[in-house]
Amino acid sequence: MKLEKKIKLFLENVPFFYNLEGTPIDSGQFIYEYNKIKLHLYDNHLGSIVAIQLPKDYQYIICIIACMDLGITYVPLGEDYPEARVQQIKKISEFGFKINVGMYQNIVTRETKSIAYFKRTVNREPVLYILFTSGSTGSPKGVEISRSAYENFLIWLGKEFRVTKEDTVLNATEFTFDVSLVDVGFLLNSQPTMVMSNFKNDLFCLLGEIEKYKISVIAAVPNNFSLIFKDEIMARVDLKSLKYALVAGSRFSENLYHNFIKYVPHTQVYNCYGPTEFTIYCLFKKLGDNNDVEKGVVSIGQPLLNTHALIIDANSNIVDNNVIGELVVSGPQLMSSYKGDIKRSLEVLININNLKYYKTGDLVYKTSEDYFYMVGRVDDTVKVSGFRINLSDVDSYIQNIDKVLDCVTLFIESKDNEGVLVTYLILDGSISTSEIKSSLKLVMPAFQIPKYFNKIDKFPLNSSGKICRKTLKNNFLSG
Amino acid sequence: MNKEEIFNTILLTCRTIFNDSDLELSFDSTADQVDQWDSVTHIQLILEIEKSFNMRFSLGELQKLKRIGNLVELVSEKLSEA
Repeated sequence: MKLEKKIKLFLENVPFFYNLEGTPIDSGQFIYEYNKIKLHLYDNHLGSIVAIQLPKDYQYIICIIACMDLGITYVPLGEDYPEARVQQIKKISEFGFKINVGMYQNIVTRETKSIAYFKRTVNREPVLYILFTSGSTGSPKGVEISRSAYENFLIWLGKEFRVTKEDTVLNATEFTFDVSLVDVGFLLNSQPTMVMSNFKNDLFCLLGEIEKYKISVIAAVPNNFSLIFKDEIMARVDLKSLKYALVAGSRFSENLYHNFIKYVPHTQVYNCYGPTEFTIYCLFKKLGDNNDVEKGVVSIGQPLLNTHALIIDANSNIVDNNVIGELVVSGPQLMSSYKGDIKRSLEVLININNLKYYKTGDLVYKTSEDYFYMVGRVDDTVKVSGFRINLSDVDSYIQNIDKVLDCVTLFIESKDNEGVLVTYLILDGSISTSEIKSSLKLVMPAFQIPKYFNKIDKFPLNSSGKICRKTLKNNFLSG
Repeated sequence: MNKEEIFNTILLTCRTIFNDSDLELSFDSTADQVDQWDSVTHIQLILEIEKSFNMRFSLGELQKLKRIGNLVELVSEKLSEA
């Protein structure tokens, strides 16, 4: 079914939303605000690109679906993005209009024409959204995802999950993270009740919301679960309502796997995998059989609907089973390109057997049963809470700060946690950690800013004269 | 134990968890004001405070906490109930 038909069906059956404050939003209020936003976009912005910078609440979903409905390409922005970052994104994406809180309020409270005004058919842009992800040189990359890519994803979502109007979905991710489009997908496919989570950094709040609203479906990052799966926490919560947990965004540890079985055995857990360039997820593993874990690695499963996955070596030759190589993926969910950046697009899109594949940069191997297992990266890109972060990119921002002579940023993982960013600095003069963080907050989003900064006189070097990251990691872990 | 003593115990716990011996807090302090206060340290902090005062908070109680002052009040209430 085409996206516009799904949206029409959704609008005829708008479910209850619970906003960030826990207040119920009924279909009447939702439709009222939706029509106001849609009319404004219809009158003023057809054919242009629209940015959305709102709190993570139901109004964000209204704007996303209105853009999808009218075929307006949208660019999701984080509410906390510094102006410098917004301007960078504006320059690359060429968005001509931004919906922020003031603009939204203005549009929904002013007098407008009636809904009967919609008569003309609109020419929908092929690009559904442009999502910005970390680049490697201080400039983000704008991933262009088409309508047909998301339509394929929605078909898979509908086939794989028996989510109905009786279900309740918890929206736990920011709209700048494409996993939030899983929640939007459930809304468009089957109109479940939607609860907008207010948990931020407080996972007790997340647990409270699951219990209070009897949440049956959640798409989240591994850390949301790995931190709460402790006897002393789970003893005070009832998660019986949880039917599906879709986990993606960073490494799914074996420890987490066993804890899911221990604490929520009734929940069907999925380990999902996908780069932004391939529309949310492209491989998935429905956990619960002998292929779940191998050599301590939880499987990322098999390609989803209409997706082809291969593993190649450095010369782009396909490798044998059980040989580690780079994962490449092809299919309708593949991005169109990086907006305005042909060079970078050509670097990651390759042709194999006349099909266009995306080079994920992830090192994987495949068993003879065709299950994929991810074991590392080919570059210095990492994932923190679902956000892809290039460590060189982080360093390029830090090196621009006055008094910073040199720096190296590391991603350090522990057994239970997904890992943190740690930067070692060589300084020329005195500057405090809070001053460094304040400078970075002006130019980069919060998720990209390292948690720890350690000053050092000189970097330890290995035998080939390169910075010895292993020594720095060991120093950090030994405290 | 009065509220000032409870506050001081919580402050010491925060300094340990956030690894910052100079950390200063007030009754009005919030998580947003402390750099190291994130999802990991929040859980560590709550579990450590429960251990210090030998009590357990319900999810409902934890969800109402917005400021350090709320935490002091909650501990005080639970101590007086015991």
